[in-house]
Amino acid sequence: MIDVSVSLYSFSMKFFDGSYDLEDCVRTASQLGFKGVEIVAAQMVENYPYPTEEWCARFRELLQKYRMQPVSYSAYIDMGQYTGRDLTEEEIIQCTLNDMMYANRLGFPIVRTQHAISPKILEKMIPYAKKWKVWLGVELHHPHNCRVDVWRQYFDLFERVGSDYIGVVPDMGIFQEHPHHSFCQMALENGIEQGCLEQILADFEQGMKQKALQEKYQIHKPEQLELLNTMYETFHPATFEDLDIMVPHSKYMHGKFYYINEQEEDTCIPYKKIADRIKSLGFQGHIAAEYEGHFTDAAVDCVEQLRRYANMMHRLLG
Amino acid sequence: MASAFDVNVMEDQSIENIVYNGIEGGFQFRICFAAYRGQHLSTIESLEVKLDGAPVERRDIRFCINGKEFLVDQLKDLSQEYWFIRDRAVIKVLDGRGLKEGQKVEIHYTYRLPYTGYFGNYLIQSGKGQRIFEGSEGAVL
Repeated sequence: MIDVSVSLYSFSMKFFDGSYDLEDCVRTASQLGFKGVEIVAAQMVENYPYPTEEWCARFRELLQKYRMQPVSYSAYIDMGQYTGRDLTEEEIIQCTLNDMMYANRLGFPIVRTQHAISPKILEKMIPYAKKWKVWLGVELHHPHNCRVDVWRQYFDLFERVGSDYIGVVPDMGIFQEHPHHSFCQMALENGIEQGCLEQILADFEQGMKQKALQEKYQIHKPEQLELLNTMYETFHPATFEDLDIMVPHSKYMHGKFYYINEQEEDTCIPYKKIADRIKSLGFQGHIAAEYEGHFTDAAVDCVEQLRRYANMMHRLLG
Repeated sequence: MASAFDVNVMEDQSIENIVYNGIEGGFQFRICFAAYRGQHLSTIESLEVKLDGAPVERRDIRFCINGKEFLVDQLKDLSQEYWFIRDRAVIKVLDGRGLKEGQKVEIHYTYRLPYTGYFGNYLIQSGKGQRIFEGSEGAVL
């Protein structure tokens, strides 16, 4: 069974500007037909990393009121929390354990963490995951894929100890194929003409190398060079074979997206191929909508984007 | 077209003069953390205030949040003090001069994203804002 849930992070823009409070986020998520929620703890949990019992009780009531499942309590490895030094191994363990205990109190069965936790520390967290009844998943996020060094080590670990208590949270952003709508809008606003942009994208899709493309279109302005770098760094997808490696060790995925068009399709991330593949691989768990267009275009309505995403995923997953 | 977090961090109409025991203390205003998530104050790398284009002495600036007041030079050590993104920090400028209508206040701060890098190489982002003091009858006493 694959459930379509939502990361409340998708409402970042509205939570930041004050137009939505936490209840507005949960209520809207419910109205849009999502099954459950992820909360990015550092974003929406008051008094984080030590929420009060009062806050925890209120949050649990909110989820009950709107019949939403708690899916993932998402944590960071804030290596740079202290000035002048990185977190020590012991501090990473303590911070992660703290997040796992609060996840349990709030009813979350999953804690999402980041690759900086390291395979060595992740293995040490297994007894705590058992005790606190949470599955600790490491997010595999762009620009990583399954073949980078640290991830080879993680998958070796999962093969050795299993993935009942630890595993991978694949972020679908690694499968971005084509520059998305907001990216193209930024290119236009930075002085690249529509016709020229279409030719650039055509050459890019045909596999033209960055240097050749830069020379052909005489791209020299700093802001345009930055866009070119982003295009080449971002839109080179992980292969779909990565799903075959990840799915057996995953209970949760991030349904990253930047823009869903009026036909309720994502022209950037190939969700039809993803849905078909994870179904055939027998994925069991939640895929959480994670709208991230707020960094590129604040004028796009995140609620409408989530509505389109929910419809698209329910259609694709049948 | 811009990021949702590319905002004027100074809250509108938030500038007030400060008067202590009938003595002009300075002025204060509220700012937001221009980011999608909260962070510890230790991740703030710099904080500068300008008045009519001229930098304010760092020793005159106070950073107030969570019911506490800090010196700018203390921020780097505040690894347990969290800035929740819905909370506004109050910046006090205690230079002994209240503002007159029409004066311009600017703020600029930078912070590292604590999860972006290791061994000191962190992505640095910034928040900035400016407002003109429109004058007010009252003052913080």
